[in-house]
Amino acid sequence: MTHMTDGGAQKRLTSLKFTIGALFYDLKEYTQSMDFYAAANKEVSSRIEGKRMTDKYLDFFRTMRNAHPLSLFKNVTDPFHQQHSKLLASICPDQRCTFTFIIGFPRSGTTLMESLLTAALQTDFSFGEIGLLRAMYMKLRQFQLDYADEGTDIDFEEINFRDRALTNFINSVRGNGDIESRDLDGGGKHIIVKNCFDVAYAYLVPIFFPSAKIIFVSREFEDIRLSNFFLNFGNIDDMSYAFDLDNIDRYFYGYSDLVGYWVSYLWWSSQLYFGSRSNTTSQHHNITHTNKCASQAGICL
Amino acid sequence: MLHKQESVFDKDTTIRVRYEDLVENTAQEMSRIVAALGYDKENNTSTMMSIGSSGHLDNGGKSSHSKFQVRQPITKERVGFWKNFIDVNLIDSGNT
Repeated sequence: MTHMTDGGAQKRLTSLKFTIGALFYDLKEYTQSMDFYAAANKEVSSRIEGKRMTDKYLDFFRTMRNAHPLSLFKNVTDPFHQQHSKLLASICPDQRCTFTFIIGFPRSGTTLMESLLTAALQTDFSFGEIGLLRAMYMKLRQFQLDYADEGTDIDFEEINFRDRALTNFINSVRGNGDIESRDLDGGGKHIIVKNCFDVAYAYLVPIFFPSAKIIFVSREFEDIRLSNFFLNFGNIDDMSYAFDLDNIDRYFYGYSDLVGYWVSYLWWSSQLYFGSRSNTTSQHHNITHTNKCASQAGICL
Repeated sequence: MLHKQESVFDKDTTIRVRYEDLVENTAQEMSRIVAALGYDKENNTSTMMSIGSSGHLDNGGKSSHSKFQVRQPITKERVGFWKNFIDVNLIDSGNT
């Protein structure tokens, strides 16, 4: 097989090694299983420079950890809320959307959770890893940088999210997409957004979606570790940490550090600044919530 | 580690789910989650029964890397599967 030197053939050989690793696992031959998984991962890692990519993501996590969310939107208090409301309205015109975000480390069961919840709620508004939070962050961040000082408005109807899945999501929620939609009993839509990598932006959920719920899926770390290592993610950049056990460990701890930070600190600071969460029993997102700047708390921007 | 961090989540906002519980008591866990989301459990009984009897799902995970696996029957076999490799030298096998 050594004469098969083109990239496609090498990838097929690598995939074959992943498959053989799985077969040995099924046969309970764990040493051989690990040998093939390790060989396959080593080949992929050498192709994608896995360690370099892991460092890139860890840098990103550190950046997000050090970037206080309130400072990100400094000087855009009222304009922020105006644009925020417009953005939500562009996604959910009838204002009767309920959002649930599913986050968790890759291979922790988030996809299973999404599938079960989709079935339980009998809703088709589950669109997987569309990067909604990241898109909203980027748009509002850009608004702050480009328009806030000038007081210029921005037309969110003209938003070009570029991402095909996200565009499809928005069109479907609006009722003109190519995914069949179904309203909940009593009206309204329950929108399920699952994205493992949204954890970097998860602190934005209470800011962008005050009535949203977050389902945080966790799993025993050792199982997560090997589950990442045993799956062939191909050339998916976001998963490039997964081809080396050391990288998985480093990535996991960076990820966990970020989660721990926004859970323990950012959440509460955002509550003080953007006002308490909805205390109604309504399941529907109220996009008209007002800015309740907690000046008495000394954090009013 | 993550298990501990979740303890400080806003209880009204964040629903903690452990994978191990989800595959061990699927119907029970889903009832809890659906209730925490504010929906009437009774309206979802048929779905819960469906999940429990068929043991698999044919929807969801549309764009996930795990989309094929979630169409397999829900199983507990992957809980603690790392223990199978305790005797395997992971350092030498995985990082050389």
